[in-house]
Amino acid sequence: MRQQVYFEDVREGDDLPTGYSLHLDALRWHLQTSGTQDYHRQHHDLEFARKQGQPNVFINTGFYHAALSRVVTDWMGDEGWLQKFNMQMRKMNFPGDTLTVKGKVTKKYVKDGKGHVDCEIWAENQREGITTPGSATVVLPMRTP
Amino acid sequence: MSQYCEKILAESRTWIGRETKLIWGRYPVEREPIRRWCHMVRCENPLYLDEEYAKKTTRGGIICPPLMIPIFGLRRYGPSSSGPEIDWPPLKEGEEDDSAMLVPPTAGKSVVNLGGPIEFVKIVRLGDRIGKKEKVVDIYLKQIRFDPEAFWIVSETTYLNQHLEPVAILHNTLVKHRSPEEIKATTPEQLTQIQP
Repeated sequence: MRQQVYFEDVREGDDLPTGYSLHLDALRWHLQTSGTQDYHRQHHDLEFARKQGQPNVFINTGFYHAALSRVVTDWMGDEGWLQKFNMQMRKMNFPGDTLTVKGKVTKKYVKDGKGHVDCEIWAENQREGITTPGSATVVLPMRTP
Repeated sequence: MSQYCEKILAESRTWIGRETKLIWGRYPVEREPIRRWCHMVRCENPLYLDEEYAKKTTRGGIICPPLMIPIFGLRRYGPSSSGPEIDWPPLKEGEEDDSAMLVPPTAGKSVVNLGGPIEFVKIVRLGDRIGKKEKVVDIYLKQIRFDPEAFWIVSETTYLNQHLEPVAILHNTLVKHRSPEEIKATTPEQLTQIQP
């Protein structure tokens, strides 16, 4: 079984050890459409995107959902529960960018007898730094409930 | 604010509080879309991918990644959100596109979905059906990089399972903006001449 992280083991300020990077090459771009089922032309048709005023085709919301949530769900283990998730698409990611996803524990507290952990999560690229900030609240199992 | 956008906004804001009926996603929660979603971001979480493993956990079997719930709640995008010529399977008689549910009038047709906070209430499993009800919460104008009067539409979507139990609640923000061509056009007559 996978290693389980417990509420007592977490410290505020800890980096989530599950950060990772994805190069947004042509293959990843195709996988974006396949995985999210978002076929909007602005995400894969350059001419269409430019006609709408966009500088380039850009990564869609569903991809960020998957990418940012992964850093949390990989970390929280089988017994963790993702209770809340949020993100903001402030800057765009384009073909050729390398997207790096990271996270950090910002707060831990007990509420209704359960161990809650708030995390800051974000995606960044090599051009603009943080493009997609977000947050997540996770309920972790406690060693001494 | 231009008179043109002000007029549309006034009409658009009458949509605040409107709620859709319950609309069911086209397909149940299935393993193959989950595999593709995970593959997209190189996610190898065995709770989503490995039935034998997942059965040995307290989850009791494969579960749906939480952020996939909106995808399984999807019936089909309509032309206004997919762009023209997107060929989805036809709807059954009496069915509507997802995008036909709540489309307040806006000055532009182009869409950027900003997402928003989503709260997860209950585990979703393989075979579950996901339905949704959507409500317009707020509509306002705010400048974005390429449109000084973009329409921001805030909605609340409740996702339910086949037992009508809420499984997730999404507070989403959608930005509808004008193309440079639409911004140049200042009258409704001119706007109708622009091809979608």
